[in-house]
Amino acid sequence: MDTTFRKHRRLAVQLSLLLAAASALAADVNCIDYTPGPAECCTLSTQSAGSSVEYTWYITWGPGYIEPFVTSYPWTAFHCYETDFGMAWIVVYVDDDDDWGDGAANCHQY
Amino acid sequence: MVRQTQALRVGLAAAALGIVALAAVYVLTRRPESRVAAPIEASASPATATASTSVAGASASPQRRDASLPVTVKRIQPTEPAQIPRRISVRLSEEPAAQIEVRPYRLPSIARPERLADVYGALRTMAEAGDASAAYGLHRWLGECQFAFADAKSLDQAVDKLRKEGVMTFPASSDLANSSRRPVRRGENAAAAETAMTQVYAFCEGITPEQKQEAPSWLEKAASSGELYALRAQADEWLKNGDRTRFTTAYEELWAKHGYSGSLSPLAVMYRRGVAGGDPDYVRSYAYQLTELRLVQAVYGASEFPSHRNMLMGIENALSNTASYLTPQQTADAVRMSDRWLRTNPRCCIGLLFGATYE
Repeated sequence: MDTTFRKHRRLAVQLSLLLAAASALAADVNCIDYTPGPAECCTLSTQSAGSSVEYTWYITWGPGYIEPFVTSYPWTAFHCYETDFGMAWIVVYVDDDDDWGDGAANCHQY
Repeated sequence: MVRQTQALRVGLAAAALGIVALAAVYVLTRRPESRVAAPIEASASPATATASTSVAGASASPQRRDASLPVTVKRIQPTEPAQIPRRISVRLSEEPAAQIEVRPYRLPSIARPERLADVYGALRTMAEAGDASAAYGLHRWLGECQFAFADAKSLDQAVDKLRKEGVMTFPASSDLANSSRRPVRRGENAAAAETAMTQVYAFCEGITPEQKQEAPSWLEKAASSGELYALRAQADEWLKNGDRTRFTTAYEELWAKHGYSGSLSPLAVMYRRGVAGGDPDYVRSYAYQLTELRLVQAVYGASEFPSHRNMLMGIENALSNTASYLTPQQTADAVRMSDRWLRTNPRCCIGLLFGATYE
């Protein structure tokens, strides 16, 4: 375990992502593991049907930041810097505004 | 002598009682402190601390804190020193690699309150006095309150529908209210949805519809400070409003003038679809994607975390897809474009990819 890992493990947040399937979008967003850094704490992913090229990610409510905000791949990073405040609700739009999925991300500080 | 001793005992007992009483007053009146934040700045005006009206029993309406306690705006104080600028080595098409000084993203320092109405007045005072973090907080949190039900009865009805039908509903004030899609939730997903609906209601309780409408103006105020987080939020509003051209222009500026690495992926997407009614520009899209990939590789290339590996794989797959639209010459042009950006962008790079600090 290197220094960087230890440093960020202290700050890291455990994310449990409980994302729902959203019919055609099948937006089961997963947190594969929490990631200690340098900044990212979780990769949000969604699995859309077809060959979508544009995913726009929003936190409709709750703590945290998302970057990148728009991706051409079904992944982005969710960063929990406003920790200790419970749940964020994430919405992802795929290609057009009527195709979307959503779900929760929880930040729990170690 | 005996009388003097008795008097001394009585005095000591009285002093002890006094200390106990003072301690009790202190314990009863002190506010819990955040592990990462220290209270500073202005107190909320009494008018913002509304009385508790929580609903008991099986209602979904959340319990609230004692409204008689004063609430102050808190600033986040990092528990560790901010990550200082550091150099990363980014491989280009030709040697030498670019040596780039990367900087952590500056986040707004005002901590998220438990209940927005408790600090609304204080935040407003601070924002009007030029505090960018306070103005941004008002924008963000008032915007979030579009997703909060207006009253406990509406919330309880929505939760009831979720429990009985597995369908999550959104308040009329939210962007999602008019969507035809209604994801069905069961089990843990339904529990998470209920928690989210309840928490956003508790956070926003006491905020008026008029106050919710102020969100855009507070973003303008925050952006006038030049803080990157506010400029990015302002740029994002263009896309939310469907103006891809102005969104692209704003993000190009974030990249060219600020070296914001979070611009690269959105710009790749915009050029892939075509900007300002134009045809797709796959060369430019590829150049942005490649630049992003190079930076992410420099930071996460050696990481074994699955989420990092998957993120890299996602960018690589997207890059391959874009490359399928390009001739070898066009690909070479795009690679040179990325080389040039990484060698010459004077502000490259800043972003959450490189860590975060607070303003």
